Amino acid sequence: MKDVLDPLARVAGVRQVAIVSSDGVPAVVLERASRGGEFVERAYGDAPKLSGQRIDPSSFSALAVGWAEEVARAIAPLSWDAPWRIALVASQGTLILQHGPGAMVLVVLDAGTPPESLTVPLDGAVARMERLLRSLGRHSEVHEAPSLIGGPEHGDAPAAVRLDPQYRADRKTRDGTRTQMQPPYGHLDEDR
Amino acid sequence: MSFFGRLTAKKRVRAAARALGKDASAENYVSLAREYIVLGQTREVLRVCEEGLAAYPAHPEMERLTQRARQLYQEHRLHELTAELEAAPRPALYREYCELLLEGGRIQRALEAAERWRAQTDDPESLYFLAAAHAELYFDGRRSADGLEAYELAARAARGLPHDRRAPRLQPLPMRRCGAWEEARRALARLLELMPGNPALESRFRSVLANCVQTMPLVRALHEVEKSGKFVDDVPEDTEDAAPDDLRALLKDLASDPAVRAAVYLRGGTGLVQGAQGPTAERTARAIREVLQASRSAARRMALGRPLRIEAEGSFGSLLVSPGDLGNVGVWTKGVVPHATRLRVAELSGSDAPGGVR
Repeated sequence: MKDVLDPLARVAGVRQVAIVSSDGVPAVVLERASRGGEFVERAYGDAPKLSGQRIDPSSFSALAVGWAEEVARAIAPLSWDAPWRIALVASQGTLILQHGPGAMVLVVLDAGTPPESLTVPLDGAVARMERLLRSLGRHSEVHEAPSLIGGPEHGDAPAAVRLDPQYRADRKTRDGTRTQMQPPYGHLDEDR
Repeated sequence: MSFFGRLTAKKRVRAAARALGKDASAENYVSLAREYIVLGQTREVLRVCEEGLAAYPAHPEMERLTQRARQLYQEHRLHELTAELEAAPRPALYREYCELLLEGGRIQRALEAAERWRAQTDDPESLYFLAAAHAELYFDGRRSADGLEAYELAARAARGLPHDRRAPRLQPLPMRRCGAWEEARRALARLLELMPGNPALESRFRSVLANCVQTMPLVRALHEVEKSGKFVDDVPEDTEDAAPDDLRALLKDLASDPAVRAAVYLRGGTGLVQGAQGPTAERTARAIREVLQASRSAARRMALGRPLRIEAEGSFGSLLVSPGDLGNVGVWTKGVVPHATRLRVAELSGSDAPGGVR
């Protein structure tokens, strides 16, 4: 799973990358060390150890996913689906969350780094997650896939659980294999 | 630069210096500073510009050169200090390094450097720089943990450096801004012991003393600020100058783009919506307000500071929300938000994050 995140960590301005479950539990966290700039892997429940760090990685992941849920709830009246990518550009850093198969990719950038520079690398990370799932579960895309973060369910395949239906719906919409979904209150143009 | 290039540049510097000696005009100061720029001597550029600004205050070209030279000098010095700290770390180097970083607004790096300093030498002065970095982070992000750290570290630094005035000066600042007047009064009383008879300080002490009747406990005051996102001395949004008259026209112009589904301007308790009507307009405005509220408190809790821009992409299109000094602006577009729309949103909101780059 570290291989999924490694290319993202090589992008200039990236401070932290992680794969986080939909309930905010981090599966893998890579953080840039203050000196040297190399990325170190942090375990779940680690207290803040790097110099200058003000919040531990697991709390950060939980808060980030909580925020994503709040944003999704707020824009629910405009859309059937939750957003597949959200970014919070702030004065001390930028947070980006992108939906992947059964999990989210979380990236924290240094202040001043534009989130647009991560668009392609993030899509690449999600594609690597899908590839990893395929190689682990030898699944067909529409049936079952092993979760990146769940425990083993059955057979030899590790952690075989269904893909997040929300993610599958989003992917299909993005790939153009499904028509654009309409907001829950009908066509917006009718209101104009 | 080649040897001959350097030789001719030095000749030109001497000629420019002679010209300045004959006629100390603003133009001659600027030309001498430019010759030093060619040689790459930023310190000399700074010296000449400062001398010129003393004679011709507010000269635009000299001010621009000074600002640029100062930035370059800071960059150069930071680079040198990084190398020196790697080779032989010592308090004097750390002090200059942290000062330069704080001056340049690189708070996170200053915090990291001060923590390394404390870990290496346990110098009480490092506590002052840690407190200063946390105070800057608190003023920017209003996170209560930063305010509390700033207060406590400044108190520890003041105990470790009993004759140093920097920590006692710093200590009351976060307390005054969050409304913990009693703590601010105590900190100012200690500072007055170090600087007796200072009229500005005495006046500040009297004003804090007058506010002590409405003091709040420290932790509660910090949490109130974190929750509301407003310091007690902030100007309330509704009493600020009214929105510009041509706001509606600007918003209409923004919504005229075929890619834009709705454009919303929010300020205080009021909102203007263009491009959507009826229930859709209301829904969009409410969604943008909720996104903004959630993002403000989340950014504080996640120690990311003040939100500058929020973006969401999905099957609904894209939503861009830009909180700024002039108001909060949100646009809902069909696809990716066009660059021109981003610029107009940033301009309308008075945000310092136009086009995605701060």
